[in-house]
Amino acid sequence: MRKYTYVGAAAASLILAAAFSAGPAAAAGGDELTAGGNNVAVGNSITATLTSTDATLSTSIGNIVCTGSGFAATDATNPAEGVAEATETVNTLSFSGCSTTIFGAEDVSSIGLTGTATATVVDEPSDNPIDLDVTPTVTVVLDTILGPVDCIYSGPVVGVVSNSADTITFTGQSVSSQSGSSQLCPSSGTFTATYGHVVDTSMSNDPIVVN
Amino acid sequence: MRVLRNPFHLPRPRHRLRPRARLAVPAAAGALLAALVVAPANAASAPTGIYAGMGTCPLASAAMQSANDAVVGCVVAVVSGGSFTIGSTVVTIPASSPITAKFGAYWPKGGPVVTFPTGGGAEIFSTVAPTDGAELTAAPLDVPIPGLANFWPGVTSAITQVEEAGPVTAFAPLADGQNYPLFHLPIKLHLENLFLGPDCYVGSDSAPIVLQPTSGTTAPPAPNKPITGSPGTLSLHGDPNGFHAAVLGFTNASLVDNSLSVPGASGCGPFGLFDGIVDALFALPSAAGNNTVIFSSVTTSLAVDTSITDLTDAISASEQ
Repeated sequence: MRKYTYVGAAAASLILAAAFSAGPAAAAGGDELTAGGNNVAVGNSITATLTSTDATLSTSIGNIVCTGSGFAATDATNPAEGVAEATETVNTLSFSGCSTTIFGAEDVSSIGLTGTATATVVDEPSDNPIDLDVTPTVTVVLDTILGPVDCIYSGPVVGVVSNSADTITFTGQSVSSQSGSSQLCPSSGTFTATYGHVVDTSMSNDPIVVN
Repeated sequence: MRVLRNPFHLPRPRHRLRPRARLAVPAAAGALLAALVVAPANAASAPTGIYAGMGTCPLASAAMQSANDAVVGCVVAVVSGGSFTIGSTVVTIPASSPITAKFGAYWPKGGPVVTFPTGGGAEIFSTVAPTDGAELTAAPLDVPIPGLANFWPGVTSAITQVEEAGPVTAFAPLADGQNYPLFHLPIKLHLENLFLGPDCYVGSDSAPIVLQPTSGTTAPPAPNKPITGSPGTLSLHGDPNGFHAAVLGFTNASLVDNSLSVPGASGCGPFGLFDGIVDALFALPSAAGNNTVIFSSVTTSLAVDTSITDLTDAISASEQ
């Protein structure tokens, strides 16, 4: 009997601690992700656009700079806070207004996500920082002086989530070439960009909060 | 026309010379003039650095001067190893006898582009022969005659010269590493032997051996099986004098082709009487699937620019 009492007390203290540590916008249900005070439902659409001046891939032989970018994802899992991490499926990653200084390249034909990518919101054991871990595979098509070149890069990359600013910031995240149609592709680079506001378009574009 | 008797003001001889000396002096003066006039001109016309070997690039040709060109370039490629296999006859390319190809290249605006199944693509360039016409140069190879011990080159063997049988076509430098030919090169083999005469060839300008080597993987007809080359290592060099031209270097590549066919011999011996003997000795003609060409240790320099004026100036600025 005493044993159960101890267990019950411990559980109560955990719940209490959880209640105190949760952010002010935490939903009554207490899932990892909420929007407008409600839990983000699995399948809800999440989007964000570029809030930094540009998104940049820096390489040893030049840079690619895009003035526009955005992603669209769907919520894949959203467990109760403290139980597990929430995950999202990134369906699209778009870039626009891109230019390049990469040696031998004259223009950026396109940049896009190949397939989908799973992003995991990592906020345990503490919310400082809240990370978004994602391993996207991105195809960059460069127009070179000798023809089009496909360069395929992959992460993993880690973004820092800010609930207060409602942004995800990737700073100097390393990506490497997985394959490419030519050795003209830079073998590696670093990615820098900030996205926000991160909103749930299935819930009136309410900002997403990580609890 | 006024003839300048001493245009370079060379010192006149102070003494009357014997006849033999009279001959020697003009010869010496001629040599001196040649040294003064020709040698510096030759030295000044040689590009250096990243443009080394591009002194005969046909920059002034109409094709490369065309306002319709989007990209122009100069190519120097050296093959320092490999082999020719025709049927059961294998001829190696020793490092001491490299094969060199030089030509100009241009890609017109909206010109042909090949798209690869794995992504990317390559512009397909047309080519222009170098100013000296030597698009392909190769040292003679000593090819043993099957069934004979080769103890007397040129008698018990055929001294074989690889010669061009037409211009390089379909030059696609970005096909490096792809399962796609980097270029088409028509060649003929000039066989020289005491009994074969001076005009014995395998392949001709009208019916050449067409090499279509790739640094990727081949897809030959049977009985040959796919073989794979190597793209080598790419290096990129910007112009050291601030021009917009750039040079791509491909080092230690391996190019392979085992889909080629080899025609029969022609012009061998008096009135071609020995054509049949050559065909019998080397099992010619040899159908596709029985022959292989491997070019190894291939080093290529490709200078490219979007402006023929800029490329010309860049190469000129490198001359020493």
